[in-house]
Amino acid sequence: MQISKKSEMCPDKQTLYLEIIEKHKGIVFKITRAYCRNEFEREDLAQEILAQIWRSLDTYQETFKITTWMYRVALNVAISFYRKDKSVAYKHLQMEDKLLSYDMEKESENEQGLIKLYEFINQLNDIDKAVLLMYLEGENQSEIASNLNITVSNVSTKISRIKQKLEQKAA
Amino acid sequence: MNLEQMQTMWQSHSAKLDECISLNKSHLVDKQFESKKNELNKLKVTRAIEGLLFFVVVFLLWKYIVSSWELSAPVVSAFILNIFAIVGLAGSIGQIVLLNNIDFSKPVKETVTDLIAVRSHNLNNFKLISLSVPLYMAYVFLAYDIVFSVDLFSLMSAQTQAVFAAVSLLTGGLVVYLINKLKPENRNNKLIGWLFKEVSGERLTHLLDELENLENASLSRVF
Repeated sequence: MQISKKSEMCPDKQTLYLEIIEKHKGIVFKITRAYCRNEFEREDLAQEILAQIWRSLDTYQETFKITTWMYRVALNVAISFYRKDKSVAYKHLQMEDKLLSYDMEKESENEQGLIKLYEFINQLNDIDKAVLLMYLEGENQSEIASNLNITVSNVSTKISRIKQKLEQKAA
Repeated sequence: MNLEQMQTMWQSHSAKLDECISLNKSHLVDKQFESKKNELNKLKVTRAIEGLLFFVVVFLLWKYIVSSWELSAPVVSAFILNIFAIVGLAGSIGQIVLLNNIDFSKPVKETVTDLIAVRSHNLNNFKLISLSVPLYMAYVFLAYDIVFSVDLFSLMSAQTQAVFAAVSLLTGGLVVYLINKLKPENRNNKLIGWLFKEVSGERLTHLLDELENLENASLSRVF
């Protein structure tokens, strides 16, 4: 599917965009939670990812699965997005207008495990996080390599190192 | 927990996420039309304004050169400054072209490299424009002629001219030394590290770190 540039403001693009985001909002949520330390950063990154998905939608091609394409866009934004350390930088964000709201109570059975899982992901560097996220999503090593444009052996090494870190943490 | 258990937990988490997350659609619709406010667009607008300013400076300097055409210090100064303004104009246009080439649906390494290209192009522009610092007297000569209609250079004694020439030479040496040192591999030096961050922004430093994480690529290849 090659969406025409002329569709920039047409309702079809808007409908398609809302459909895609509604269906795959989990991807945006997981990436912001993996890459950001606090709620303000998450909201800021979510806004940037969603804006970039809107802008990139014109060049989306059906040769990619929509989830793979969304992962690429979202990871590119998350990795290149420079987060300032000062919380002052996020004062402009109105948290009552959050784009994605998460109801943790609905996921209470896994709560502790998930907190530990995200804690572990947060300790990794940005690229290792990307590798691990795609691995957890069930992507194979060659797909991960293609999404990052690195070699399969590089991906394999990164996964082994992540396993080692996980074992060290468990010990 | 091992990686396989982690994967199982992740997939169960993913399956439940749809129930746990709610999307604020009306806010999202507002936001998407505000997408002009996103980082890349802000950069493009900044570069376009810079380009326009440089264009106005180039135009005014050429107008001055043509109207006061003679071999005098102010005209030579205007000519020198015009060269730097053209460099600035070309730099701004180059930045807009590079920013337009950025596609966030490309593989991560390509996008990071494209973003680094934008930042390093900006850094190189700064280096070229900062070469005008040793020629600071060009600004003074031109300003005196425009404001007071005085050719300051012709009024200076040979001794004063020699002092200014010596200061320019010293400044020139210092600027060339700093420009030469302004490379990512010298970031460990406190002064260079500070200058590098101030000039190229912390984002370039961050992107270079990410590229280094992607594979142990030689950073010098990028510059």
